[in-house]
Amino acid sequence: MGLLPIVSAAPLDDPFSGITFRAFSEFVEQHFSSRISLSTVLVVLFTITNNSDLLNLHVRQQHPLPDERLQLLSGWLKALARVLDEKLGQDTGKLFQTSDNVSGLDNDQKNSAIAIKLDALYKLLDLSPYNEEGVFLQSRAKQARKEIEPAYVVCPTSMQCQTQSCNGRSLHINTRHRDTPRATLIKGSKVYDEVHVLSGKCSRCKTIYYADHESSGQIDDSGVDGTTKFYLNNAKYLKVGQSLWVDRVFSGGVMNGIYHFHASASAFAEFWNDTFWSSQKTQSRKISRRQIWHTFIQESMRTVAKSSGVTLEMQNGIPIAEVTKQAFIQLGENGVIRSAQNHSCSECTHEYKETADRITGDDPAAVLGVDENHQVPVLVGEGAELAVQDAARARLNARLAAQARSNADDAMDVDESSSTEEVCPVKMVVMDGVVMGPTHCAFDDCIEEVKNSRGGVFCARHEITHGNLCRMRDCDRPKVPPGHTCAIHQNRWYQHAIRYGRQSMLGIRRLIRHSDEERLDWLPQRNRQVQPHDDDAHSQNRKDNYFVPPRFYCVETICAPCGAVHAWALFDKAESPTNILNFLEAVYPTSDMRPDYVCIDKACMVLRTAISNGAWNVWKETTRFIVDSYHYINHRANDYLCRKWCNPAPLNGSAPNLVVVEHDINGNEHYKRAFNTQVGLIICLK
Amino acid sequence: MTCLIKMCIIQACEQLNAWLGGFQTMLNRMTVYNFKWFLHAMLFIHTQRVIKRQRMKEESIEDDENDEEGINIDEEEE
Repeated sequence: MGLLPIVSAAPLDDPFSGITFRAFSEFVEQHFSSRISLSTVLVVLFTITNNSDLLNLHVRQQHPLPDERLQLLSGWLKALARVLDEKLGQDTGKLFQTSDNVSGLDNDQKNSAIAIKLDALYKLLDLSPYNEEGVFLQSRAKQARKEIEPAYVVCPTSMQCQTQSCNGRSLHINTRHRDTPRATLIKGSKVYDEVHVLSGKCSRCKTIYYADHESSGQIDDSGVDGTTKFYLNNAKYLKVGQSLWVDRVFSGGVMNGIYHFHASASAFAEFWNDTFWSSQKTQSRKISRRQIWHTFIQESMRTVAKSSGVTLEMQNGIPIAEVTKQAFIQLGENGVIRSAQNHSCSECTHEYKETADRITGDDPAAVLGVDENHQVPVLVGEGAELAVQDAARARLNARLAAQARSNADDAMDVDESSSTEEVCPVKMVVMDGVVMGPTHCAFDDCIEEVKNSRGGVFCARHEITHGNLCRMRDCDRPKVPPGHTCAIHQNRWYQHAIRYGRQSMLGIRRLIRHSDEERLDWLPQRNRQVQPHDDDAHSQNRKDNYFVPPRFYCVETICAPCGAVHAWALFDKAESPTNILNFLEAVYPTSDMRPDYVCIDKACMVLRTAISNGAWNVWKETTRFIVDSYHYINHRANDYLCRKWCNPAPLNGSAPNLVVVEHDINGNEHYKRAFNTQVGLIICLK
Repeated sequence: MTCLIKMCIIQACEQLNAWLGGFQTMLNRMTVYNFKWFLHAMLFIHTQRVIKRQRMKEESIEDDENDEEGINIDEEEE
């Protein structure tokens, strides 16, 4: 037994080969100024421990081959001395003792002197890969290792009780040593194992303080948790799993990854594990998709709450899905983004102009940028006569305006200041939709969330009333398991299961995606009518069964030309003018909030609906609905309403707030669109 | 596969929708409230960033103007 090799852990595991603090302290006293600060000493120490590659290059020159020259003070170490000198700045002087006579040295001599001290410290710390006999040993090549990293704890950020009546009482530790949970902490990209998580408690109000939330209230006698959780917006660490805490750099990284890369929670988890987890030695498990999702919820809640000046309060102990729901209810404002509504910048608002810089005799349907030196196509069909009359009236107005202007120019005593325009911003918003949406309850006109999102089709209420009944519409017989229909309709259910089930198409359904437009002989016939994008939903489009939960049709957004989003909404069934008008009404309930122009790709349809249902009487006071120029050029030739009201940039000057006059470098006048709705030119490759 | 080059001038909102469309596959699998919160948080943060960028742009224009004025003054002094 006595012959077995015994490994002594201390000298091998210690990155400084067991050097005592006393030896280090004596070195500092002997080589540096007596007034040197602790921080300067630590900078020197970490410079040595974190530049092992450079020091290897240096020490190699101190151990030359037979045909090489010995260099005791290599250029490498002098370079390091220069870097240290730059970093320390004024404090460099503290590296010298009075006897070193630093003021008498030039720069090069000073660097050499620093290099000598660094070399001495390097030898003292025994970081060289060469042993005392000058033999190179790979095992001696050391890096700054985990052993000299600090110990971290997760604890409350508040120094004292925040409850007003407690007058800032100090907080006592709430966790007994044996109950202290040990968690994994992710700080930036580094994983720390076995980090102690501590909580504090105010002895007066009994509020418990954690690192990311505070908890107050009592658990009543029946064991019901009546405590309230306050999510701290300025928390330093967030709890994102049973024993996982992350810092705000990590959680910010999750947010930015999702924002910029459209990364899903599982994609981000894979990315993080492959990049950071796999490159470090840790006892902790890989981060999971759920933990990333949890991080996203925790971070986004705090970002939004902080900007809104709110502290979120929720019941303690609720699952993350419920937390998300509560977050939306408390902070979502039904899709309205308040900060954007108060925002104004040069791109989305302009000063109001009562009169145009110049009224021309162009047709009122002419569009800036399209119809210069160009005949506007005449309107064909209904309203053609009216359009001709409008054009004639516009020409007359132009003549009158020109006359008035020349008269005004003749009258020299016109007081310029009296004609100054009232400063009042003109706002425009753009509205558009993107087809996507979550599923909702399948029952007629119910848009509540589905109770069981894996296989269920009804909300909680309709699950009770219809959950046990046959899933064919208008059938009141009970279900016959394992199908979801009664015995009579069983065939329908099995047809559905074969066509849409996981096992269909020989198990490769997920690999082959069929286009909706393709109509091939071997594909099942579509028995469902496609909802036209712009139409109101018709009742005849309804399915005759409740086999799958339907989806919301689209997400509609209202945004300013600069890109700030005013509001968003989910439209069920269709992007219909009625839905659009209701949305506008909800977002801009009062006339002072309404934008002056709403650009919608189907503005003329919205206008027609607004006129027929009476909403136009209210909206016409404040707002005009305009279309994009592509729509206008095509539609003005056959729709009077669109031609008359929806011109996005009238060339004749009749909308002075949409078209402004600018001067080029030669002083020539030219027109420009006031609102830069066209923000980019992209090339789509399909 | 047909290769079709389509040039289109897109509008601010459509560009926003193109960015939002990138989340479509994720969003379509979510429950209603996850969907609503995710979308709201993303648009909120997006708006915050747009406003910040816009403010910085306007400040930098102002700074440039001030700088130019500063140069003129220097020249006059010389």
